[in-house]
Amino acid sequence: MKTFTISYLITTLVVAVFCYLTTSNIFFGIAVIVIYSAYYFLYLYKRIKNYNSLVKRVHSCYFFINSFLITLSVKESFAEAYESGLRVQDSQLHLFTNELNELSDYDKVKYLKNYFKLAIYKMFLNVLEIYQDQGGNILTMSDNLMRECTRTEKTLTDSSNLGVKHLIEFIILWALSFAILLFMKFGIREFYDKMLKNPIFSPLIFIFFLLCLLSVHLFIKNFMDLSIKEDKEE
Amino acid sequence: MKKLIAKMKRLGLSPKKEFLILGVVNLVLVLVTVLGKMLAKNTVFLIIGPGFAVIFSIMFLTRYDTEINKMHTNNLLEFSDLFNFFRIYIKNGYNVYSALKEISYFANENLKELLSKLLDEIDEDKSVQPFINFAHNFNEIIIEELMISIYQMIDEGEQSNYLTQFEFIFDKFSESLTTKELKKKDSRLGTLSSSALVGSCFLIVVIAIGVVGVIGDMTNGI
Repeated sequence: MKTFTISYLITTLVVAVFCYLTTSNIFFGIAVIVIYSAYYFLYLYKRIKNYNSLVKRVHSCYFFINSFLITLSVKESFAEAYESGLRVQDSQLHLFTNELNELSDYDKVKYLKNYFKLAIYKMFLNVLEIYQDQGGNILTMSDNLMRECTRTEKTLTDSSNLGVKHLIEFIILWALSFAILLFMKFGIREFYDKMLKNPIFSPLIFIFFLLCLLSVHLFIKNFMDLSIKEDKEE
Repeated sequence: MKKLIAKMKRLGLSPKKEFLILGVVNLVLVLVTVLGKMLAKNTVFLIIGPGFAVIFSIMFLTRYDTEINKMHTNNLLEFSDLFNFFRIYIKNGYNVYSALKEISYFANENLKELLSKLLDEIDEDKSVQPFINFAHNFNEIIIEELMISIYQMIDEGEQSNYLTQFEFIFDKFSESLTTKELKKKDSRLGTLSSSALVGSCFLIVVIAIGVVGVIGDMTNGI
């Protein structure tokens, strides 16, 4: 997240310099820095953090459920199933589970709902409860649950791949738009300076920079739109 | 107008408030236009101001259909999530009534209300009608098929062939919904990635305004 913040701030600075060069007005340059930074610190930072956290939790949760159920069906031991579920690479999860040493294995699994905070985990606990009460074949009891985990994982990956593909297009096309402006400024400098004398020209160029931010906002909003059911209890 | 008000009400919006927002924004745009013309003495404001007002009004008044479609899609996604849990409950020995009761826990406000209505209707009417009434809220034939197969489960027992029938229809529904949603996301992101072209068009208009200004100055001998 630190690298992303630094990259974003550098980009903001470049865009602000660009705005200053194309409007010849320092206030518009400063306004770009203020608006772009405010957008990042008041909205984007939190949004990206939440998105990353949700994606990580979803992947960890699905890995945990699958490994747990398969190990439980083979070894019929909660302790071993729990250990196998924790083989997922999620440092936050490991930090969380370090505090649960005093609980029994079943309680540890139950308590993990406070970390995953997903509806599917709650469903997994329901299946586990039925298994504890009535016994039976855990794989048969949970085949729909595991199928749902696989389906959601696949959808999440497909959705993320689509997002990355369009993100590249988005960046290239906006870079080309900025290149047009750059060409105008340095290619036909004298004519451009004459255009700048028109009182509404500079504000309109400034609006172009705001349009770019609006476009980034709409793109990110759609990119990060995931239909993952979270557990309302939390 | 009646249709428009009905759409606002369907979305839980107050028509009075909606028309007030539209009026206030248009008024502000008119004021900006007049002030811009008076202060900058530039006739371009007379085109830009009303242009923005028209674009805003069209976007504001046509967004209800989009919102209704979004609500419909959200309901379908919620249905898919909930009835996936429903079949897990059924597979683990719950009967239809208690499985429907259990999935209410996971439902959003909208679906929770519909499920509670369904459970109340089942209490009073043992026919297939409550299930059909529930399905009508989604305007999808496949949901009607699903609800009928759930009703048949009550009649024939949860572990019957009707469970297989339900699972078959549900898998088909769930898969097509996922594919549709992915396609929608693809097209939405595609449109947004080409929003840079809108930026370029805007830039061309700005440059045209600049060029016209320079030519105007030249003809006036400035």
